[in-house]
Amino acid sequence: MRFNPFIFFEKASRLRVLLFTFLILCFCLFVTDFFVKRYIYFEIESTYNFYSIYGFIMFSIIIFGSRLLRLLLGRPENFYAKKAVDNEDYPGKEEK
Amino acid sequence: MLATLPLPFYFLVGGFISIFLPKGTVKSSFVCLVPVIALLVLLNGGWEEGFKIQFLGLELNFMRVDKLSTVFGIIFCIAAFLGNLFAFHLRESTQPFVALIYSGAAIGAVFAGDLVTLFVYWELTAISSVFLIWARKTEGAYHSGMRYLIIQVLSGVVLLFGVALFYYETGSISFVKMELNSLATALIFIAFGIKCAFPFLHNWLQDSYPSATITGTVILSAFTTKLAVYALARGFPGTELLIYIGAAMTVFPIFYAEVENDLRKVLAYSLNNQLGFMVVGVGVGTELALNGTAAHAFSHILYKALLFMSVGAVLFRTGTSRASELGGLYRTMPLTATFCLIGAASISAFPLFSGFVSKSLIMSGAGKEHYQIIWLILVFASAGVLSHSGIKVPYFTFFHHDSGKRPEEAPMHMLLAMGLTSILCIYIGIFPNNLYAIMPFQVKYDPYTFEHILTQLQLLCFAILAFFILSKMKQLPSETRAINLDFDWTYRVFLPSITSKILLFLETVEQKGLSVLHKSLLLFLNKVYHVSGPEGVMTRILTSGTMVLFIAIVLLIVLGIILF
Repeated sequence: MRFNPFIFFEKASRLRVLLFTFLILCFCLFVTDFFVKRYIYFEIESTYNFYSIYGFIMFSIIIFGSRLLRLLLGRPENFYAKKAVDNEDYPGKEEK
Repeated sequence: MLATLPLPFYFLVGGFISIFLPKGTVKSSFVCLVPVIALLVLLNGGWEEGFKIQFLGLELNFMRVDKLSTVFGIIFCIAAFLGNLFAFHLRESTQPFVALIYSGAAIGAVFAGDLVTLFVYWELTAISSVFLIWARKTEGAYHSGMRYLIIQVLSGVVLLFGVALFYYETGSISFVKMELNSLATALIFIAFGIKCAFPFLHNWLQDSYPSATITGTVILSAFTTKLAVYALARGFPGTELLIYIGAAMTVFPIFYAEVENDLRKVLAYSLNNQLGFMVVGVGVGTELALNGTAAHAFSHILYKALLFMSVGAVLFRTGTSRASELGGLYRTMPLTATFCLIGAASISAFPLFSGFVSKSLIMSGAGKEHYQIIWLILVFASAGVLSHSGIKVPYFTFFHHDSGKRPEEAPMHMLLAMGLTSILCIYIGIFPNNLYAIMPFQVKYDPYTFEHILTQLQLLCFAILAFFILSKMKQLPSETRAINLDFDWTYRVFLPSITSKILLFLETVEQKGLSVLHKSLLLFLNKVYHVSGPEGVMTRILTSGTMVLFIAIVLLIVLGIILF
């Protein structure tokens, strides 16, 4: 069988290494902001670690906002019609 | 002579030839070859004077070739080739034919030097592309296609009204920069806006793209909306209203994309969001921002096609593109998963990928013109892109929980199409100057400064960190088989229900009115009958003596009046 890099990371220990590496990267990015003088368009950018904080908060807002949206506007798949595309399986015969 | 013919000619003739070719490798190879030939012809040039003809006293220019149209022409040819390569397995005549006509029409519209030519190709894109939806051959797809067709043709009709008024007002049909200051230009603007999926005009996109065939969606994703972006960049650069419209377009689709279950719908919302960036670039209107729009359209067509291809390949193998039914496909579809991740990294604008070098032009354009709120919205939207297209699509398809599905890897031609698209995404990301060199304006811009890489990585990595934390806390929206109401509810449910209620009301009024009228008429007729009927005062039978007496009295009265 061909080498599959994704299967290589199936093992929990290897995945942990990957995650740990990512956390270190985040830490490095966070700390590097101390030492870099950035060219800015707006004053707000000069806030320490503006991009890190903004990215983190905005992502969270998107997640919670979208959950609220689903709560308000979520409907079953057959809402528009019994045979709407939302509700049907892909007809595979002609293409498969 | 052949080389100076309008570029769509190759697609239209190629399309008709394709009908007569035997289904299979010959036909598929031919439809792949046509865009390649067209691209070579385009690169060879030869339309300095355009391709002009006189028609009803109007001068039509079928080939206005300048830097802006060339960028879009090149990427449309590439997209047509990649789309047709992805559809190499098709053993039918309709879709290959339609794909060539549709892409040819879009290219024709891009090179149109006047508004009449633009209108003709504008409508042709609508009429041809709907067959990519109907080719799915289901009742749902039929209705989606009808809605798509109505809206697209409506866009053309509005454009035609605008063009006619514009000609009446200015005496010109030249497709050049316009000011949004008259009904004519407003109509043209709205027509462009419909095709560009402006807020409240956008639902055709999310309705139709997931309804098309697997290969049809890949083809559809490249042309219609980017044609509209081109038209806006040509007709309305620097129109401030576009900045706010574009900003709205970047924001609202994010939330929908996050909770939609059908991954092709997620990508359709994501497409809407990316269009927002381009529209902002057009609105800012500086050379840097317009370069950003053109560059972003170029790279966007590639990575969006790549994402649609990878989800399409999954749909092809598993029969579903619902996030709730997928997961764990990395085991048997590792190459498709890799290509999907490359598309995800490109759209999320990771350094070394195409989105990074194109989106930053627009962001810098907005920044340099001091649009702080807009700039903050664009940064927010960048995090949003990562959330749905960067993480959700690959994560729910290839990773997350194991769906138990063990499909085969995608067919070779699909892998080839995805592989070539991936290479282009990375190539543009690593060597952005080659992309910048074909942009409409000469602008010096270096995306690979240390601070730019740092800030972009900070934004993306901390957004991913938020994803991990929220995932661990089980706060991510679950994948459930459901849809979410959008503005199309107004014309799919609300307006029909209001209309039927109004009709019912009118029917009741009509019935009651008729009954009252009927009664009044009867009453009136009764009265008439009473007065003039056989027994009535006016029709009773009198004797001759009485009549003579009556006449004598009348004569006496008349005589009296005359004498006195």
